[in-house]
Amino acid sequence: MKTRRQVLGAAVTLPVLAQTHQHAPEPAGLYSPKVFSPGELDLIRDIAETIIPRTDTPGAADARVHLSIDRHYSVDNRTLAEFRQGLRLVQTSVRRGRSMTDILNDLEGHPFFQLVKDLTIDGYYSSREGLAQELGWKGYTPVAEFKGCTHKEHQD
Amino acid sequence: MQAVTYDVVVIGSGAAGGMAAWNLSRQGVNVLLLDAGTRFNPASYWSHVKPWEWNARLDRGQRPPAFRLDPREQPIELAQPFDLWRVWGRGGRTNIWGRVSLRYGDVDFEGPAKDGWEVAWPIRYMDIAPYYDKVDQLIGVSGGADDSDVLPGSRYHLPPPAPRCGEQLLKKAASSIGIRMVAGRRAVLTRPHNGRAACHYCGACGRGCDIAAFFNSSDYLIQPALKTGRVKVIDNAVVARVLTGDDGRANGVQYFDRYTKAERQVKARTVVVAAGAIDSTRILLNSKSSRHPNGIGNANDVIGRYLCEQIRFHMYGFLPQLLGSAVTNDDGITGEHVYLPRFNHRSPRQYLRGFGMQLWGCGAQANANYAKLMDGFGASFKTAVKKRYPALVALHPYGEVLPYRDNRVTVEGTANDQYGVPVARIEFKIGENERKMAAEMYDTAEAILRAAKAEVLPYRRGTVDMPGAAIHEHGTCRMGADPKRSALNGFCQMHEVPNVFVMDGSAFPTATEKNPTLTILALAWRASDYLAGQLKSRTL
Repeated sequence: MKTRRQVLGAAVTLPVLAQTHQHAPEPAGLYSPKVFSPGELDLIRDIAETIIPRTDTPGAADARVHLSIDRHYSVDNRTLAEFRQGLRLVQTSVRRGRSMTDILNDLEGHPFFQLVKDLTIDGYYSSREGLAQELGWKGYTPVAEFKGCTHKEHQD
Repeated sequence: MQAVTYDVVVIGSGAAGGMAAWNLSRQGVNVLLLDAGTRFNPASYWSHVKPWEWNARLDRGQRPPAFRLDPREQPIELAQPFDLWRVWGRGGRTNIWGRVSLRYGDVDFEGPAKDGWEVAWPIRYMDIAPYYDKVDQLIGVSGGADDSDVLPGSRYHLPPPAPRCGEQLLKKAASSIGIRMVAGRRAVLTRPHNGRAACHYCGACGRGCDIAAFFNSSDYLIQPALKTGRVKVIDNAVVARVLTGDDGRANGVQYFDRYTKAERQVKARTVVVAAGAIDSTRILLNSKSSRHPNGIGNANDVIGRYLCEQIRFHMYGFLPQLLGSAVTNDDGITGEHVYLPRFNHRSPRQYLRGFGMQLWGCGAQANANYAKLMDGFGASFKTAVKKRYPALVALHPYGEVLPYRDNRVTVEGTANDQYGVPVARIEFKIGENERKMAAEMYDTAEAILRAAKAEVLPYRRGTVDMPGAAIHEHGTCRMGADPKRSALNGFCQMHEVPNVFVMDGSAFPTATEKNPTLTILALAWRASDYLAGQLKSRTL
């Protein structure tokens, strides 16, 4: 809901960290893609999974980040043209047989890389897999008492 | 049928309008409250909805309450970017306010008189202190026992919440370089208060509190006021003008039904304007008549000018002691549990006024947006993000923007809204004083993070948020002793039109570096006491 933002660099905007989430994926099957073709969605899934891969915890594909990116563009298409242009760039390299890791390494610093990385971070770290399972977030839960910092070594 | 003449018509139901309606009605005054929206239903709030549940609800066709007014419904014109927040509906912006409740001290009230920048406040701390005491007791403000010239204490604070780890460590780091932090002060009930339940730390205050454990004008003021039987509320009443008689005094209010767009007029013995600084100013400037060709009470071209807000930016870092530590639920009362009060007045500066610092967003958040500013990708990136998650700290300095004559709200030559009434146009720029202050704000934030040995996220020195983002608009109908340079006296009463009072933030001659709502409540209580006295003595 809050849209307080601060521009920190040429292409980097850090939303205020307490903002709520508009782009979280929902359980599989509830959301049908509205923007991208199946081929585009496969490519987006591969890119996102390369940015945040499955390790001992779920990755971007497990969190259906490609669907959250589709959802994002279904309500806000301001950067869609730029995003699609980037997808074509990646697709060309994929056809030449390059690995996604190599492609993204070459793209670091490219506006598309930051764009798809930001959207992947938004989707993954607002999903149950990314936020609760990976990071261990426990918030938005009523509790009787707030103890705060209880570490002796942190006290005055 | 003879039209009713209300003792007082109050325009707006936020902090100021709610206070006026409550305080006047309990003193026997008949009040009509005009609200541009309706009452929000707390049962409909999405308070505990997890981020991943949000879109599933949208897919099912559910919507959270639309607190923020869509500017397409009531446009504004902007000469420069300005992030105006408006909430139409009972309680206004107090439904989603930041809840920070800091008393202004004489450093604030005496500032303009001492440094000569624009008009002096006509009141001092001693005038408002009893009202701060009453407001604290009424609404419940959690805070510490500290008391200083920049941040006067209160005997009525509820217990402050314990600091989070990151806040505790930053407090220590600041202290090591001679900068004092104190407990934050927030209108959040940390224990049951006046029959209301205590906060249950669910962490989603910005979506509205379903148990009203923080002050909002609707539950705390207007609902009790309705019980007196002396308050009537008209919903969806979008006010256009204060109406005047041949004698130049106010005699009513013109409004439009938000949805049918039908024009209505009500008769008033006195009028309290409390629609928020920008919309109050729009109403006053549109209230033109032969006696008030520049808008009501504006013979001296003061109303609309001197719009002041605050400059603000954000700096983030990670504390080494907390990297990879156990993740805890850091929601607390949301927002910071410690505050850095202004300190720069103790030695001379190359600029006027000062800044304070808030620390909301320390610890585990419901996102990892900081990852967007970290390099790389892949498994090592994922590990680096996780390691930093519990270690995040945030500094948000807020600095005063001086009142400038050309920072202003106008209605001349603007488009009409859907009711055929000219919309507000905002011009707002910061100046050299703000740029100099921002440099010290950056110096200070950097010094604290350095002392804490933090890894600092990239930032661009000198940048500040879009004006309006602090949601602290002031000054466009300011109080002062000189009727030629101010619109109101110290009781929020118009110099030129004594039966009109303006009780919201527009009455403030300066913005200060602090959050204004507590002071708006205290000033509105004091002003409405005065108004009730004037009505009783038939002075008005």
